[in-house]
Amino acid sequence: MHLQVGMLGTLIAILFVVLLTIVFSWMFRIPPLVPYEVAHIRRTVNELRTVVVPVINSLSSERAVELACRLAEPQQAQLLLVGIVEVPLSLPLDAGMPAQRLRAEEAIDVGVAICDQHELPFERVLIPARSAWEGIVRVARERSADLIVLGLDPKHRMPGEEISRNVAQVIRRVTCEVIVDRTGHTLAQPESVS
Amino acid sequence: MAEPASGGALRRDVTVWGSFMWGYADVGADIYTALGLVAGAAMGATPIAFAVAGIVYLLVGLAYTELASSYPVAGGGQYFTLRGIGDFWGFVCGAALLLDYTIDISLFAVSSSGYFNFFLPALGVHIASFAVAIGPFQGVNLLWLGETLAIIAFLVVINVAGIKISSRLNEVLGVLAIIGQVVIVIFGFVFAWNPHMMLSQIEFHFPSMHNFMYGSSLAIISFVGLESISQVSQETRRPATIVPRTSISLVFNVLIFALAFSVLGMGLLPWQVLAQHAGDPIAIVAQKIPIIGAVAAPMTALIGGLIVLISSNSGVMSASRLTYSMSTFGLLPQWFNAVHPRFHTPHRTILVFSGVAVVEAIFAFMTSQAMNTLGNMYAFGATAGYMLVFIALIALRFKDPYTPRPYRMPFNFKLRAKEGQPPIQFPLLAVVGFIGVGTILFEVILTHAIGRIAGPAWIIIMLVIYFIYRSRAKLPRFGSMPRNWEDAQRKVLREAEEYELLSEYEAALAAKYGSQHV
Repeated sequence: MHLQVGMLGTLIAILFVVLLTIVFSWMFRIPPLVPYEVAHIRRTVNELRTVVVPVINSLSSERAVELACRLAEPQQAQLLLVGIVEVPLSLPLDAGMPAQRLRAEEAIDVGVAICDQHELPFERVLIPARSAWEGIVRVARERSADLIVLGLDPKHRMPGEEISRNVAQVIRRVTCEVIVDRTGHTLAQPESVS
Repeated sequence: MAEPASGGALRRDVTVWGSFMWGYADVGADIYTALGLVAGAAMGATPIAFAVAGIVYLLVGLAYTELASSYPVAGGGQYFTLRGIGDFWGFVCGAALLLDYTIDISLFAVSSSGYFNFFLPALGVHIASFAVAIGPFQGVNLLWLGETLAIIAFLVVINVAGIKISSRLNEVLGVLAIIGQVVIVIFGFVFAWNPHMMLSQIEFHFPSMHNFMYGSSLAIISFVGLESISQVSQETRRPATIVPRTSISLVFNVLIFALAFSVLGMGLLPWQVLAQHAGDPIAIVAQKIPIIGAVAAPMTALIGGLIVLISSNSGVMSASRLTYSMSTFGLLPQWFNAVHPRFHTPHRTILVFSGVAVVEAIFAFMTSQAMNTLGNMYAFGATAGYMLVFIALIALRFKDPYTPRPYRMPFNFKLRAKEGQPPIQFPLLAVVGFIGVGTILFEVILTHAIGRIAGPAWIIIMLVIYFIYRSRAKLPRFGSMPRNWEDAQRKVLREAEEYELLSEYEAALAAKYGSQHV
């Protein structure tokens, strides 16, 4: 029997086989099962929409902003960069406090620069308060924050405690999630060298 | 408010391959039946008719993929419509699909005997010689009718007695059919396909507009059966993950095979030959291929006969599953759900709807073109049901934006939602699909002399039963019964082990009701 191979027919046959192979190999590539606990935890982190980060002029604060950005990045959560002007009880709350205000503005500027690196939405919040923790708690409540990220400088901790008074009060008074990042000595080294 | 039954007691043991084969046993078999019928109508433009129907089918497939993965419960199109646009339309959709399942039984029983009849000439028997005139009815083929009725009776017996056609057998036959089809296509295209023959058939045997519309609306029957994957999604492991993959793979597989066979067939044989062999067209194509033809033709006839037999059986099972779902949701009397005391099977449903299939088969043989007549009605039921499914998909995007959709039809238009509600993704392709299926339904009504009468008549008869039942049961006739869909959805996702989706759904509901999620 004389057999003739058709060029166009062969091309169609090859195309047919390639298409079937692609379809079947895609079908069998099933992603692995995710247990309920894992799915739930992933979901709760993914659901973070508003993250509060109090900022001051310190390495621990800047690091807290960076950590918050990384947590917020996958779901494009909004960061509230909160600068607090601590007003002593001897002055009215609306006292100007220009020097403190300027320092807080500078700290927020650094936070903004970090947020820009991650292309995340952010908001500058500058408020006067009698103490830092009071201001943080107020912003978290008013803005229904999902998470507060606090940077803790080891030298600011309470005597005999691992955390500072501000951190302790924030943890006690807010209902949302709080992450405290205590800066290690090795991390603090470059700053001290410079 | 009652929580709608999800039928969660079913064990989930259908794997990715099993899910695919469930669909393939139904849809994959269609090309074995449709090729000859479509060639008889669309003549030289048969591949174009398949391509036109294939585009619409692609959209139907994507819609089913979204719905079956989001709502992995038994019931298929009827459930989606019930949930999207209410009880009444859910019933209409169920009735249309039920018509299809009964025709599924009869049409594939006819087709199965057609493939077995391929062997008759070797025994010195010619099927055409059994055609007789009974009163006014000419060309009634008594042997073929007898074979068809025997097959339906066999299927009734095994289903009432609860004898399962082993799912393993189902899968093995499916694999054999796929391998057989691949071999035929490759050898056919490489060694025998003549592009000039195909082009000359398209050029010189292009049908009239009426015939082309008839052919393309018949071609839709080669794509009917995607429902099966939805029907079995309740028993599929991790359905939200697996169903989109198996559905989309099935959609593309069937489309590739349908286009390949129609192009190959027209480049191997004149369309008239395919039309004359409406009972066993793929075997005739295989016979024409050099080297393998002598072996491939009988093998194809055997595998084809068996695979369409399984397809016919899936019609019996799907009809009873659908009826069960409809009675569970208060759309049909519970009478249908009665289980046989000895065999523990829904014998009434099986007997009633297989009985309908017998009547349809006898009626079809009286018209002397049995398969054509059944194809007419099949196309009506499918297109009517699919139109409602598209409407349901659009409605559910508005009514239930909270249910996570592991797969979404592409090309969505974002609409602003009410406060606290997630944005609505309006599915543009669903509108295109609705128009496409609507056009085919229009073609069916315009060109199918039997389908345009028998199809609506079936729906009307079913509606009479619906109204009588709902009145007696004091249930709303046009309205819907109150149901707690949210609890049902949670239950379904938990039982399906789709924890990521469950967690996402709970978070969406928490946001809806304003509670804390952490």
